[in-house]
Amino acid sequence: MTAWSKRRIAALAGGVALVAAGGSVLGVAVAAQGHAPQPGPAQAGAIPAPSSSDGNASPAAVKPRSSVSAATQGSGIQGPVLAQSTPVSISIPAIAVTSRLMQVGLNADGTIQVPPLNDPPFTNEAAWYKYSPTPGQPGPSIIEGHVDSASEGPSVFFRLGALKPGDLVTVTLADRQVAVFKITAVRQYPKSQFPTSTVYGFTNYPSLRLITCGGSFDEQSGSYNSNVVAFASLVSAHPG
Amino acid sequence: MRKTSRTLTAGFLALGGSGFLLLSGAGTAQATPAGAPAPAICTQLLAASKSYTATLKGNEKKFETDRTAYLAAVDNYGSEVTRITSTGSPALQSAAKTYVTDLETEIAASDINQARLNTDDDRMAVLACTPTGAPRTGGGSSAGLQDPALFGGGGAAALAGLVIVGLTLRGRSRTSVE
Repeated sequence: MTAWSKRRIAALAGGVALVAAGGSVLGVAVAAQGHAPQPGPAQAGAIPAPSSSDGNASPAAVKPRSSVSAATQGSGIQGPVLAQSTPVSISIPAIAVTSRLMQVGLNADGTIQVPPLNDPPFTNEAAWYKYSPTPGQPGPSIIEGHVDSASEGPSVFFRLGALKPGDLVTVTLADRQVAVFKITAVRQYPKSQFPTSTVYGFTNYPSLRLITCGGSFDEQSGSYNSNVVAFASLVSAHPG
Repeated sequence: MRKTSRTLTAGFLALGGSGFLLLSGAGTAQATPAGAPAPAICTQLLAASKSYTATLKGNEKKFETDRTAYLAAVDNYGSEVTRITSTGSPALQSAAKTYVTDLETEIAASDINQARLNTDDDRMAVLACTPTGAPRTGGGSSAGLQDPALFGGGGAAALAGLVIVGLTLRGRSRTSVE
């Protein structure tokens, strides 16, 4: 074997080693990719139409409990309701979420404020839209959370798109009541076609809307191009 | 007197359970990002609600003995709500009309349906304070390639290895032909 062929063999071995190493690094990089789950057709569920002023929408499956007031006769409200009380925390066992709830209002452009993106721990907390009904009151109570943030990575609602109809959400209120909601639908909407009335419109029963971002990220606008919305209805309540 | 007192209490409750009272500071905010105030109608309804509540609380004893004054206060509040919502959407105007009618009728008749008034008010609050669009709930860290350095380094190494292997094999085939 000549010196030339030895060098060639060494080069060949080095090349193969580089290919293997590069491939391994690429494999690790691919494995480390953690994209937020996007809801599919199986999670679409059913969303009762927002009620008209007369009110004709109905909750998916409200089961009255003794701790839930059923004194709604003559109000046009279907199913039981809870006393008004500010929400203080939320738990979604199906996606391992437990979070305190901060309160947010509106931006100048009329969109809901969001928790600060670079201010942990608030970045990873969910937030209740303070101009929406409190959870358990008639109408849609709005709770939102970030899917991720540049500084903190995946955030509180990172796995919201993995929820399925039937999953439970509990919201603890300031009066220590725990409102239990059942997911009825999980949908993804392009921001440009966000169905405001479907998501924010009044419902004749206590409902909950969980909102986060989804779809692809537009670097130019610094925003995702879609939103994931989980729709839920009150099913019961119990003391916390 | 006893009936008037009950009515007054019911009147308080009617407002106490309403969507707008919570906005007057009854909530327990842990942290609220600074931002623009709510839409004008939402803010004005909040102010009217706070004023009405203050009027009732400040005149509780008087209203127990002076029903006319009590009904006038309710009527004033109803007029204020109607005025504020007159520039809103038809749905909001309709919701406000329902709320004011139910409030005034039930208090005048001393027959309060608490749940109905709460619902009327919640509906009005939702319509007055509805956000205009989708929230921006993400910073993008989990979108696309999450570790470009890893992808770049791995890709470059693999490519370099392929080039070396290719050149080496090419050189070998040339040597064989010669």
